[in-house]
Amino acid sequence: MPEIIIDMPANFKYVPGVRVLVARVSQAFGFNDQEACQIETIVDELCNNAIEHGSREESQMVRINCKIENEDLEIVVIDSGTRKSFDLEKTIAGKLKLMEQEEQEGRVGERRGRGLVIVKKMSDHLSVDLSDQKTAIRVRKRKAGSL
Amino acid sequence: MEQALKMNLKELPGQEKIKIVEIEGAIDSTTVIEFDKKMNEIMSAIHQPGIAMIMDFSKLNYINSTGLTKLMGCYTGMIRRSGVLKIANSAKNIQEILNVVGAAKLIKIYATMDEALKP
Repeated sequence: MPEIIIDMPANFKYVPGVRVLVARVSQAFGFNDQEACQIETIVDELCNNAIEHGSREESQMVRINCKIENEDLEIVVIDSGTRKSFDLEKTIAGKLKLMEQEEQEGRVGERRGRGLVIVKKMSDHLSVDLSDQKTAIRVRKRKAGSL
Repeated sequence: MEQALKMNLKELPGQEKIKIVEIEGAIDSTTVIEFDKKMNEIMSAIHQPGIAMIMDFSKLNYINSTGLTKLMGCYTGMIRRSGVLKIANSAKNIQEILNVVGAAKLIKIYATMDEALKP
């Protein structure tokens, strides 16, 4: 199965090039324009999250691992952050609840933290693997029309 | 590939209550500080109520969650000034992300600039 591994210094300036690269590669494997835009967003949000919360210094790296398997693209973004616990589902559920509450009240807060919610809504699977020395966020994106 | 941010404030003759902000490129983690700074400059010059700020997104190719947070700040800022924020000409990918975060339910979004210019 085709696999791409990108090791990126933990600096936001590298992220635009990486997100566009992965999106373009996905198109080469049959993802449509809308899906490619979603993949660009997913990679962007996960890389920014990795830099902000994980590999905080430029001397540290963020690894982006992409695998194409049949109708799926798997993206794994790995940082060197050592979070002791991170309940992804609970975090996203909390943020979604807050967003829905704000919508009902006719306002949208200026706080940050929508990135993982966007990733969740644009992907088919989202999970996190924690270890002593790294955090890996794993996303699967399926082509339209696939079962 | 053009990802840098360019912004231009445009005012129409005889339409002092309309301010058009043309935005080109991307609003992401590399450009968001510049976006925020320029929008603060533009908004701090608004001292009268009833101003419609129209963001022309026809040349905006990307926005992420960080950019959306600042965009929401502009929305709130215009409400505080008794004005309104409108968006015109957004591409499908921009429209999708506005929908995903619920911003499209609050900000007035128009397919064309002509529609956005109507009172």
